[in-house]
Amino acid sequence: MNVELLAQLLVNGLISGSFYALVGLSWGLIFATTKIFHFSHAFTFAAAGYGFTLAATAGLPLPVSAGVAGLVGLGFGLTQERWLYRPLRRASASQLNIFLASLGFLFAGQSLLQIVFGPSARRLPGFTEIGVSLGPVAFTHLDAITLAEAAGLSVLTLTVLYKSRPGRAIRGVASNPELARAVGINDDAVFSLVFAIGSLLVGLASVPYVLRNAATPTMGIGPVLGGFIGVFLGGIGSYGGMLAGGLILGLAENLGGLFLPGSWQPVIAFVLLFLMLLTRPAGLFGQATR
Amino acid sequence: MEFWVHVLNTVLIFTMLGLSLNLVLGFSGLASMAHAAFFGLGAYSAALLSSRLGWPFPIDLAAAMLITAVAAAVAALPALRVRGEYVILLTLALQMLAYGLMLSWVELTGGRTGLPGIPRPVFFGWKLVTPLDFLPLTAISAALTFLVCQRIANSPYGRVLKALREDETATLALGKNVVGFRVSIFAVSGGLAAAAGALFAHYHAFINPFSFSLDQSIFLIAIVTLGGTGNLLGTVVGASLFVGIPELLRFLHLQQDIVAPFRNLIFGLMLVAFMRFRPQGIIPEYSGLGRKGRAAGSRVSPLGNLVRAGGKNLVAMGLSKRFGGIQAVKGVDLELHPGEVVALVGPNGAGKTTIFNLLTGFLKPDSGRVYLNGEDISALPAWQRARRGLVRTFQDVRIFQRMTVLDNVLVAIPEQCGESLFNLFFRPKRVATDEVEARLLALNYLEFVGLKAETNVLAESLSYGEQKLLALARAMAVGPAVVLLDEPTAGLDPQWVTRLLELVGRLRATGCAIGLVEHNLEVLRAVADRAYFLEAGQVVAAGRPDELIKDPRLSEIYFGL
Amino acid sequence: MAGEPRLNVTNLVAGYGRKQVVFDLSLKVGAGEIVALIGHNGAGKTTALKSIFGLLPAWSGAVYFEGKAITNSTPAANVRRGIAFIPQERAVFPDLAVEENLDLGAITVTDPEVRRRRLKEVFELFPVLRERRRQRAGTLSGGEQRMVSLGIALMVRPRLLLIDEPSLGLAPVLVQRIMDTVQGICREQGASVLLVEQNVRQALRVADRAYVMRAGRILLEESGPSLLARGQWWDLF
Repeated sequence: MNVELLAQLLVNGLISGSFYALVGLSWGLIFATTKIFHFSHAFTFAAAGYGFTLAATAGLPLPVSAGVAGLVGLGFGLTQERWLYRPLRRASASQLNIFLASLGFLFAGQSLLQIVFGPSARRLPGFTEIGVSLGPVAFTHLDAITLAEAAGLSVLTLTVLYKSRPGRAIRGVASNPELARAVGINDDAVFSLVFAIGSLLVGLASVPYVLRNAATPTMGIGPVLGGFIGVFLGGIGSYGGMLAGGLILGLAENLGGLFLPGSWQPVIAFVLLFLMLLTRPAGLFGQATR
Repeated sequence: MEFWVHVLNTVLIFTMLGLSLNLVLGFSGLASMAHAAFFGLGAYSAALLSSRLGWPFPIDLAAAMLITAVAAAVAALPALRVRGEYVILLTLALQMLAYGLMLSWVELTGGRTGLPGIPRPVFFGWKLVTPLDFLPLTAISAALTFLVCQRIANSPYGRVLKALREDETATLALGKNVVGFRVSIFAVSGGLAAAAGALFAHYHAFINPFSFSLDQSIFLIAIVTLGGTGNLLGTVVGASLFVGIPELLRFLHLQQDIVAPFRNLIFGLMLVAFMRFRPQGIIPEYSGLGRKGRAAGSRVSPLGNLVRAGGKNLVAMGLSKRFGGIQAVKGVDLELHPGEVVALVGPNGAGKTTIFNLLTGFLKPDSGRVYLNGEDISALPAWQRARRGLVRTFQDVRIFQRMTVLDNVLVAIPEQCGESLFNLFFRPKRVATDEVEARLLALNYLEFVGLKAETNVLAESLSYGEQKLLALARAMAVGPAVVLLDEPTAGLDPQWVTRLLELVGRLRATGCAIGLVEHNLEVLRAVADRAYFLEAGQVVAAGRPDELIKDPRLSEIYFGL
Repeated sequence: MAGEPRLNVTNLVAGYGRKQVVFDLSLKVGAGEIVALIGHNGAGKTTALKSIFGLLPAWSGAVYFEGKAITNSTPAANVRRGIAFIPQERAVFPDLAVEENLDLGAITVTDPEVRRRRLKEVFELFPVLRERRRQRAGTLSGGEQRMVSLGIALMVRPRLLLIDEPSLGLAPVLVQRIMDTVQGICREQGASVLLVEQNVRQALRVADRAYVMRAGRILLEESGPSLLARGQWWDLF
């Protein structure tokens, strides 16, 4: 066993795992609170990524462009809650139909991005990654940013959820939606709030992704799928579990590189999900009662 | 001219894809995101078998179907055992996996550049090259696919699929092996998609991964949903419109890279709009187009022939169940004997419905065992207990809303020949005669509860009282040895209550063992032979109702100390 | 009962889905009164309570609170008016700590000082909850969960308490305590209480008046003590 290789893969796994953890938390928060399988979250990611690219190409400093990405995400997220999901909820649409509508919105949104920006990848000119070495392990400054962003935003989100009143209301709605209504919590407001938070997070998450890879219309699918898998691996009932699930996925995909060539990563994701569903559908940290 | 034929061929191939997806999405209510992956698996299998191994045309297609059917069944299995969102997730991951492999496993699939040089099919020395050559083949294939799907949809097997879609719990309670049905339909759907894939491969003589991407899966879902889920004709219309029109637009020599995203944009928006305003699609499931088999002249047979001869003993020992901090049931022993009506009585929250759930297998007890005629059924899942004659109704009724009254009862009849795919296609005569008998049986049950006049009405339009009677007829159709009725008279007006009690009495006369949860004490006195008095999850007293009522201790419990 | 009744329900018709459960229900609750609504299960008591509070739509009829029409108001609006509802089951937020549960009860209260004060009052009323303040509510015993649910309602200092089967699943000793607590709240805070109960004896012990409901309709109305004095109610259920 090559220890240096192992260490490198661990670091890589941690970095990509932190990305999945953040994306997973952003989606899982919405799902746990609203029970909506918000598939078009992938569109929010992509739109925010393009927002960042436009802003950066227009010359805005990177942190400001990142802010733009967050705002774009926030905007599209709130739009979807208000104009896509809320009317369906009022019309008592079935879970399946709500999912299909989300699918349609994603399909339309991606196509719109493709029409406006073209299908080919849009790279950000003039951005190069700076390598860093820490003993046997090498990574780039972008990797460090990814990890720091994920860690920072996760801590921030958990703080909001556990230490603020709106956060408590969100957790209340997730825990017992009927009682939440009975004590006077406005569930429309809470729904908007989680969509806002989740979409802001995913918008910000798109920034390091776009810097590393280029922006394409369908770029949201891969990350969000990784997020889904992380959430279900960890278990929907626990926010910490969602984060852990993402980390586990990242680590597994990279450690799998010991045995499989790099392009086989989707295999690992699928196998993990498959095994989990077979043995413990509630997730590693979830409770079986739901 | 050749162009129109090409459009037609494409429409036909996509019709096959849409029909096979409708089986899973529309009839079974499972959102599979992997249909393009199955399409691709079929295409690549056929392409590789024919070009690398030299297998001749229909053989490689058959092999591709088999490979894909097995892959579909195995890959989806874990998700099909659990809840809806897992199917979405797992099939999505499967789709990404398949697509990733198509792109990266270059030695096998040629990667991005794809597989050229797929041999043309040869029929009796005649090589199919032009679209016109292919037309008979694609047309026949599409027609066959339609017939297969129709056969499945209008069969007892299809009935179970629809029931599953409507209410999985109630379907389990009828003794159906839910997972088995789901896995088999997934396999069939995958196999048919693979057939389309094999045709596609030979038709174009070249394939690359981009025809089998997630976008394609979503597009297929859109076609089926917009055309009308649960309606095969709707899929034909959907494919014709949504594949045909964009293909025709190519005729106008529009820029290729604009057509595809515009098409997708429009379809995406249409999907959202339809889900909001017309979720049933262009042609809804029950559009009145040809419902076969009107009710034949009835023959009332004495009820004794309808119900499984004789009941069984149901014995529970030491049942306990805890939910979080609350001990819902504690050390409960009880017995039900054939020809007896036994009531579970007690204040709300005493654990009566929980006990029903434990007895029937819908909840796992923390401890305790259940025996049916001496057989320990404690480890059996709910559907297997139902097959042994332990049947229940639900407090919240749970009939199959979007199925007809007749179908609600028909689906409950056990051991139907036509519930097996093999029999459907290889023993059609037996299935047909079996179906006729089942219909008569179902009509008799409906007559017994007094719903014969509503046979072809959709269950959702029945009044509440009628729905409860339908649920009873459905439970009886399973041929129970033991029936557990959960609050059968709740929410019913007095005349309905009398009706229901009369039916319960007649059911008892056939030898069935009957258990019921009842709060209405008038009902209790009228119909129960024995009762168990429960309080805070424990049996506090047992005996005949008129004795129990006289017991001051029980009066205290029921009305409080 | 002098003056305007605090709660006045006239000809309420309600159900859920397509199932009609309540047929033409009329009742009144005066200021500072405890009124019990008793009857067998399935008689429509919970449906009636939920429709009054706005958790279920009223198909027809009217509900007045302190003279103002509140028919089909949202639960949030009713909480702000000073009405609290305690459901029969799943009456706590199981994944949240006890203290968080109580805090959510006061979600409509904007002044943090007031919230703090009320939390203290609830802990004084139920010391057990102070001990378990950080424990997840789903892990508490049945009696403790019932206390949490009462506590949640008390955080808004309601002028009308709608309680659905407070004795549900509780041992007799605990039931008595809960009923005494409810009576105490009524006397001290002047709250009116409409109490749906299957435990007839305990309910009538504290009720000033009672309505008996059967199959969706009011069978009779009587004072608590006189109904209690009957001794048995088999013929009413």
